[in-house]
Amino acid sequence: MKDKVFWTLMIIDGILVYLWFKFLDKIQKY
Amino acid sequence: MYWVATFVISWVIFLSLIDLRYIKYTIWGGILAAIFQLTVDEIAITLNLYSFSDPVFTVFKSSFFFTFGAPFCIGVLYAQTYPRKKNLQLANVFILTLLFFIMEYSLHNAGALEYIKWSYIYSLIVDVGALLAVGNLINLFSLSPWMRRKENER
Repeated sequence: MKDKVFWTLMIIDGILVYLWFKFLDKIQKY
Repeated sequence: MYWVATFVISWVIFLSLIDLRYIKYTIWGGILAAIFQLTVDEIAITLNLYSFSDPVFTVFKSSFFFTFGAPFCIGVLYAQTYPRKKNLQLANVFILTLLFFIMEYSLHNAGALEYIKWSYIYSLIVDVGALLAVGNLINLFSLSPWMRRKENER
């Protein structure tokens, strides 16, 4: 159960981190 | 296993987003973030505030897979994507703190991180402080690509 919670949260977090950095990268327009 | 998992996920994100043209500047964001993390964890673990369980391979009492995973990768990407607008720079600190906190919560919940005399709120305060400090150094040393491009255009 602990493993399942860990992996679920980590995958959601990983996707959110990716999307946030992608967004910042895009608006920086360098 | 949990520390290795955060390492793998961090490097997947890092390799998907890294812009190698500016790595010679942005890598310093990662090095600074890793130094901050190692310093804080070294102090906190020595003071018995929290401990890492099953770190696999330790570096200054911290897990190698943590230091060169999330803090390093986020530090480099933080420098690479550092916003131009000041209000977004501030919002970025709080959003990244929240995203970093989800990982910390997962590690604590899984038992990889044990709090002895510590609480989530302390971590949030340290994370905000660390990101503000690294952000300041990014500004000071012009580590973000747009800062360098502006300099080259002069």
